[in-house]
Amino acid sequence: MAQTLATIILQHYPYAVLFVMFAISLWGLIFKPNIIKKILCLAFMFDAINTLYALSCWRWAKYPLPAILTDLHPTPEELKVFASSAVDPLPQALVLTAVVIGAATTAALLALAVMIYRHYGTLEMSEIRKLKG
Amino acid sequence: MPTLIYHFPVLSMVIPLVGAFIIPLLSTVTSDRRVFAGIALTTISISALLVWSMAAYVFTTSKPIVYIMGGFPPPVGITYYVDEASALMASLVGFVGVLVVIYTLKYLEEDYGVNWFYILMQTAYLALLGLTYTADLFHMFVLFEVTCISTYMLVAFRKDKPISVEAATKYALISVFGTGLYYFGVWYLYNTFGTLSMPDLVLKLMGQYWTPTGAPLGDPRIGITVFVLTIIVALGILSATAPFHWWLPDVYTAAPAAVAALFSGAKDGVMLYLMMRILFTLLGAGSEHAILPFSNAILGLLLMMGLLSALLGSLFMLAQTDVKRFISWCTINHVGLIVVGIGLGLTKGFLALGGVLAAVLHILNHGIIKSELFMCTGCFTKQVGTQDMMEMKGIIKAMPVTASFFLLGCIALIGIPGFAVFWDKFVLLATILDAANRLSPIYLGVLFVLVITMAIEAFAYLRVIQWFVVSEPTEKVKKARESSPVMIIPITIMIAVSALLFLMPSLLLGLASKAASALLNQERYVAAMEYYMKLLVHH
Repeated sequence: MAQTLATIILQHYPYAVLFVMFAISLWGLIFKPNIIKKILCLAFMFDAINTLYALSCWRWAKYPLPAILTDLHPTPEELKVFASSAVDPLPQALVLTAVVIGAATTAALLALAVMIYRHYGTLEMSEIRKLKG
Repeated sequence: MPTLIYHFPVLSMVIPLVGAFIIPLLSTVTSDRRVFAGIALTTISISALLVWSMAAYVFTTSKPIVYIMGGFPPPVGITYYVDEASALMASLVGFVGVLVVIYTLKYLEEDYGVNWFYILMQTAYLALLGLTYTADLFHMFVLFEVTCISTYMLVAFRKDKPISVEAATKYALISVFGTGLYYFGVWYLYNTFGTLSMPDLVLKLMGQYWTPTGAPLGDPRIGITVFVLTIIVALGILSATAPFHWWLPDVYTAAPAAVAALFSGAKDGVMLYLMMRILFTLLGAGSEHAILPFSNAILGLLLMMGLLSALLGSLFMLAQTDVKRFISWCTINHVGLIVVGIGLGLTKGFLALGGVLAAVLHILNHGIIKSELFMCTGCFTKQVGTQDMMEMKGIIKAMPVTASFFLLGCIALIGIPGFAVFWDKFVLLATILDAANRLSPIYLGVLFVLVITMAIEAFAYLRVIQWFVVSEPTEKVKKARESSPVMIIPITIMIAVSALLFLMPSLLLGLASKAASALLNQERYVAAMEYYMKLLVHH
């Protein structure tokens, strides 16, 4: 029983860590007034989700191998073994795209933060409430 | 079979993209604003013509257009799928896009750096078009980000105004969070089903696992529940449905009027269209055999969100004196009506068709009229120099044409017969009454709340009409002159289209009901792309 519990924890702790990371970034996004901290939290949130994507590469293979086939003329049996043991390459492509998008988003947000500082002389959202909502 | 038309979805996006890349190159050799505006107008007009011809083709032949990116069939590659609903929404985006660009020719004449404005305008436009076509969930995420990043900067276009920058920051923070949440939902769906291609997902939900991605790996019911909740929140944030509506009035007030017109005309509509596309076409929420856990709870959630938006929007309209803020709260009110329509789509069967029909009609007609109203406010602020309605009293004497079009727009949104919005409200209320008859008397409560919000909205608009028509002109208004014809032409076209659509209900309802049944028809969605998916299966 104890062993199975340990296995379960070992299998699932990355998810737990990432969900905690997600929750922290959500908390920071809502309760921290500083814009730079908010941007950091958003970047943090995207990192957490990107890592979740990366984790899901391993979700069907028990002992996964990199998606590389070394034999130039594989037999159907080798291909079957390869397909059942290789990691899923799609999430890696998705994460690569999302990282680029995240960089662009962060750049746009930082540009806005610079302009906020030039206009108001502060980065605290709570001090610059000109708009009432 | 004309083959060129199958490339129109991607061509209509690539042409504005090319324009967006040409403008920065040209701005190294020239600084003439007419060159930049000309390029933007040309690319967006060509793109809109392509979209309209595609819509005409789809509606006349009833055959959806499927475009396979790079020749990779659906579960592997990105697919564009244009049926009646996508074509209708894309036509709306094209219509609003062209008229907004015409409007900016004069509206932005005193601003500097218009080249950046037109670059962002084109990218926002093409991303909105792409969102209407796409049949791939991750591609949808990428297009969300393209729309959002270009629109943050469009909101902050007048960067010397502190409120523009502040509103843009607020909008950017909340919508990055919204897209992040969508990204999370997509991850959960991928973890459960092992695919992100929408036709492939529909097949899996129907219980057919012959595509290369195989059977689902996790429990489909949990996967769908998580996904539905995340997309309702994410698209609720992006379309400003209550309780995620609070960013919208600030953003629309601080953004240039042309940007607000594009937002309320096209962006909100496209986001709500995506909500319908995902709920009905992807998850089959409108059909009897759908695997959608807690279907009634989701129906209740959507109705509550819609009613709350409608109520808050109409109540806060009464408290506003800023003309743009006033119309922004009205947008929230109408988004609420659309969300109630989407919610009714979950009631299955004939009522579902009525609800989705009302939502599609209202996205279309509300988008046209709301863009028109924002364009009018741009004319007022340009001439009077303020956004305060108290200082715009009696404006009909100084700017008779613009002000009368503004008032016609107000009358149209109240839902008085004469403009196409009447048909939306009619279909929506009739459907709710029908639901009260067939399902449960709770819908009478929904009807009651909606009628009250419509009455409050009508009162708020009548008060504005009184200020603008009956009151004596103020000093600032006396100095104002009529706006340039270039700004009045798009406004006239929008009002005229709305009036014409009212006079041709068979055309309007015909188009919209084809779109609504296309949204609800999962079998047709899969059948159109099945041929391509079978290419990957070895027999």
